[in-house]
Amino acid sequence: MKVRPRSLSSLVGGILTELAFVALLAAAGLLLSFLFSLG
Amino acid sequence: MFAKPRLHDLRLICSYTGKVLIGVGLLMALPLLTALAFGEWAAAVDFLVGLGAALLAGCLLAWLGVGEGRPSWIHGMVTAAISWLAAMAVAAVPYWLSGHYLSYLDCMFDVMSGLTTTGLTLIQDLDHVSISLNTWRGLLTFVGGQGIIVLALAFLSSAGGGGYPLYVGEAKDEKLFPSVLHTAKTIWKISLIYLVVGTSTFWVVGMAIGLSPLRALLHGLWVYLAAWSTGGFAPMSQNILYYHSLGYEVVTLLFFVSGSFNFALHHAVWRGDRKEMFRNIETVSFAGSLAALTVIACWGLMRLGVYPGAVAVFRKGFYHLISGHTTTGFMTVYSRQLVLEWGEVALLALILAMLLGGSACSTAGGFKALRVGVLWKAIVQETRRLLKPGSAVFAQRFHYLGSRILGEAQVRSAALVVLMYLAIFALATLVGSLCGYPLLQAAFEAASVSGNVGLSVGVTAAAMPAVLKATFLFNMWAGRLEFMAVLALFGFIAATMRRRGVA
Repeated sequence: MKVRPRSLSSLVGGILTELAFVALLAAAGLLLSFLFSLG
Repeated sequence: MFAKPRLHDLRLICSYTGKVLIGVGLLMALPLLTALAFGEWAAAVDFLVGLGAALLAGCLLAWLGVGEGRPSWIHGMVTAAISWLAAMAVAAVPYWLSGHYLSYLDCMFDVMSGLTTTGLTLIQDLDHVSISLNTWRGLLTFVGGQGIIVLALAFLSSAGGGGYPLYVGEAKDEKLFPSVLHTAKTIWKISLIYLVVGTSTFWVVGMAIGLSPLRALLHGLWVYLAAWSTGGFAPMSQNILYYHSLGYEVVTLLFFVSGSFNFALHHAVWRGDRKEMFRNIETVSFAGSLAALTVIACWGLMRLGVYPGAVAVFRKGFYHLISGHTTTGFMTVYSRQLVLEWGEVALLALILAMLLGGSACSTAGGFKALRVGVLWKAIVQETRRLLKPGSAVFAQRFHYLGSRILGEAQVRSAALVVLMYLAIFALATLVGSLCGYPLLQAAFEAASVSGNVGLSVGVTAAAMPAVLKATFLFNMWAGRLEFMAVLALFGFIAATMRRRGVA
């Protein structure tokens, strides 16, 4: 596992990466909902 | 077969169980202080009595024990199983004294539901519960998600390297550092950092939807505690539906999905390994099963014309699916709507999602995405083996905090745990059916308790038979501890009851 020393920026970057991944999942869910709502 | 336990074994288990109870007692100081701060005097007395009972029981057990001996695997497993039951019994005291429950069994059910991050509740008149009792409900879920043994190890114990069997007994086998103490503290550090980020976000969104600043803060804290822990408790009986806000729902989704990630994954991503997020077998497996089940659920819902448009399907269909898949249990519809409106296809997708669950070594329950991924890779490997010439040798790889080769032991272990989950799911479905509930509803509630989810179709209520409450309680406990500790406790009891020991 490639790791760098901990810092505030890597902490914030880590949290943002995780939230971005969840946002991607939610966006995919919304897209699927939209596709099914078309019929 | 275990050797017949000696007095030393029992005293060591007593000692560690006592420490966990002392930890639960000290935790009660937080709702006690909350009650004093808000002038809830009756609730303050309830927590004072509960705190006294927990400390008394904990000190008595610690006194009967032998102090800080080095626990073996069997000590760790048995202590984990007993500690969760003992913590349930003492943490239920303030619930019982609050007058919001019809029986002590209901109180213990709710404590176990909170500790195991299930989120089903038998409470009466939830909308008028005191601030301190709501805080206690949230704290139980938060601590249960991280693990009560992890809490005791992080703040109370000096077990050091010898504490690893206790840690594993609680179904957390990922060591972030060689020292289990350091690992336990890191798990708490990750959760506390998210506590600040999550509560602040909920506070702002709460005020934006019209809650007063204090109410937005309190609701934000309670909802965050339940979201991060994939618990599902909410301060209002309508659960997340109470807020009638797409923004609030999306924020809950952000935090409960983050809570369902492996602590080792959080640690790796926070240390700079961002790519791990997108190639880890758990996140890939979770995303794949979520997509497949969303297609099935959406198809089932749209076939029946349940919801009129994309946003409604997202807020009701997808939200419940991801809430179930992460084993959170937040709801934006009434329980009975699931039975009356959703239809069998969407409900079956939801049952499957609840059984699959979130990540290993997280706050989530269910089979876990790691095991699902490992079993999927094993199926791929077997298929490839069948299609290749007999002499061909190849290794199936997967990515989990680095590239790994799939081994027989991993596949066997994953398959055994999944089989155990299916066994308790079948047991609870059978008991539910025998109690007179329709099969699909019994299966739905059984999947919810076995996977520590908390979604309900209305079966879980104070009026349900005591035998069903006891079965659900057992499933929540066994599912959360992932069976090893529970099986070890049964073996330990059987060995204790034998007349002669096995050398």
